[in-house]
Formats: sequence, structure tokens, C-alpha cells
Amino acid sequence: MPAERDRFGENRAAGLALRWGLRASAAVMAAGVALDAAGRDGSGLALLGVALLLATPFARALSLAAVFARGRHWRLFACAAAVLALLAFAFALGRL
Amino acid sequence: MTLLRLAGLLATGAAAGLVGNLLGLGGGIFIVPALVLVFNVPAHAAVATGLVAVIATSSAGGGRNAATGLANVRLGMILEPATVLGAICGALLAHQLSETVLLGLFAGLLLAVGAGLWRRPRGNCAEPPAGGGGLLDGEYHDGAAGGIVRYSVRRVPAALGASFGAGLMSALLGVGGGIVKVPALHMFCGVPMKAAVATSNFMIGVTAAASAAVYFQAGYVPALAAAAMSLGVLAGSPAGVWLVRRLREAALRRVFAVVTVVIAAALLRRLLAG
Repeated sequence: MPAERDRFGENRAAGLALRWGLRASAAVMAAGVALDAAGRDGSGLALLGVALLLATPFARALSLAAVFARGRHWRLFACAAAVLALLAFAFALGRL
Repeated sequence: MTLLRLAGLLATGAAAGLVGNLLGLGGGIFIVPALVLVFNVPAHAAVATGLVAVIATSSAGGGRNAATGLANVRLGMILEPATVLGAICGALLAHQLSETVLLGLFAGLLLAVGAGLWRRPRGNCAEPPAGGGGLLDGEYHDGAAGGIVRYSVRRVPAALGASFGAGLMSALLGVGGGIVKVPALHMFCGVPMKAAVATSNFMIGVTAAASAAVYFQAGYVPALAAAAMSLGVLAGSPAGVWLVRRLREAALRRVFAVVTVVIAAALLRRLLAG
């Protein structure tokens, strides 16, 4: 059996972060689309839902960084931290 | 938005979610042309919507595949810095590269990948050594084969290079980059096709998020269309995740090879048409 599979609980942590991020964003996006279908302005809610969806991969990388830090696996933690730093840089780049 | 347009966006998203999760692609490669050609969405908005839909595909399939162990989370984590760096470089280079050169190179790469996947690479998937495996080794239950599949991961530096290229392509073309990541994981690293599809699916959300953040802040994301498309993707994704666990490995590889060649042919046709 491959050594130490899911020793840090990384599979569960990533799955949970993705599922909850998706549920929150889907609920808000669905409310926005339903309002629009009913003839009212749902664009604000739809935009908020899209923003939550964009934040989901950040949340996933953050949860993995926390899991690897707790398990003291510094090589995998460094990768997760690098992803977070690069995503933050991409976000800052968009503001320029 | 009319109800007919809403239904069309939901249906297109559902189809893209199914195919995206089945093949480890984000679905952007289908969504962007559909938005431009069928729904008359401007190109930049279509690319932005495609990237948002890629995140939806990845989050829907990636969550389930990570929880079941089909996606190799550690391998994904090692490769993600390279793919995000590629996406940032792509966003910076977007306006400086000739589209003709870029599409020509991309089409050539796809043809080579399609041919490589069609001819089954013998002895491709390495079993982990007896007595314990490495940090990146994986295992999963294969419903079609009816047992546990174990594998070792090799040639990680080659996959890092391919991940960088996939990120570059993601930002330039508004796709997830799975069309490069899946063959690279399978052919370079020896990851079985199903695990390669699931791991690519897990990674493409982060790749697309880096590019989408730039488009989002520039105001290119049409909120209602992107929301409707993403909801469609979420509806179609479970079917793709269900199918990938039940299809035979060889069938999945052949389907991927055909899709790769068809996309390459479409790109070449566009290039030749000028």
C-alpha cells in the first residue's frame, strides 16, 4: 500500500473546502438567476455568487496549507503556501 | 435574460460539466466557442465565463475525487505552483504573442498528444515497489476493473514543465489546461488514466482562478450568464464523475485521444481560414 496515504487528512480537508465553497456559491448564484428569471434585478447576487466561486480554490489551498502545517510536512506546506502567494499576486495584478 | 437563453446556458453548462469531469478538462474548450457562436457573447467575456465555469467543474468533481482518493492531492499540490506561475506569465504575455504562432504550436502539440494516447504506451503505469511507496504514490478503487489500483509517480520535473505550459495556455485561451495536464500525468509520470483525469480536474480550478481573478477585476465577467453557466456545470458534473469511475481505462484514453485530435483539427482549420 502506498505509504502514508491521507496521513494528514489532506483528501478530506480538500474535499470539505471544495464542497462547502461550492454549496455557498451555488445557493447565491441560484438566488440571483431566479430573481432575474422572475423579472427582478438579480445581477448583484449573481456577481456575489461568482465571487464566492472564485474564492473556493483559495479556500482549498488555504485548508491544505493548514493541514500540512499541522502535520509538519514542510515541503507540501511550502507548495500550498506558494500557491496561495501566487494567487494573491494574480489578484493584485488584476487591480493594476 | 429570456427563459430560452437561460435554459440554453444551463443546458450548455450541464453538457460541459459532464464532459469536463469525464475527461479531466475544465469544459472551457467547449464553453468559449459555444458562448461566442451561439449566445453572441463578446470574446473577452466568453473567455472570462469559460474560466469561471472551469472553476465550477473543478470544484464539483475535485471535491468528490479528493474525498475518495481518486485524485492524487499531494501530486496536485506539488504541481500547482508551476501551473499558477504559468497562468500569471500567460496573463502578462497575452497581448505580446502572435495568435497564429500560438495556435499553430498548440494544434501541433495536441496532434502529438492524441497520437501518443491512441497508441497504448506499454508498461506505462508503474506499480509501487514492495515494502512501501513514496510520498506521491497513490491508490484507488477501480469500479470497472473491480479492484484496487496502485501506482508510483515518476518524472515529476517533466510534469512540472507541462504544468507550467498548461497554466500558460489557460490564461491565453481561457481553458483549464487539462488537455495538457492529463496526457502529461499519464505519459510522463505513469499515473493511470483515471487518476490522471481526477488529479487534473482537482488542479484546474486553481489554474483558472489565477486567470479569472484578472478578468473578474477588469469587469469582463457577465455575472448572470456566468452564474447560469456554472449552475448548469454543477448539474452535469456528477454524471461525469460517476461515468469516469465506471468506464474502462482504455476506452477513456481513446475518447480523450479523439477529442484531442478533433480540437487540433478545428484549430488548424481556423488557422488556414486566416
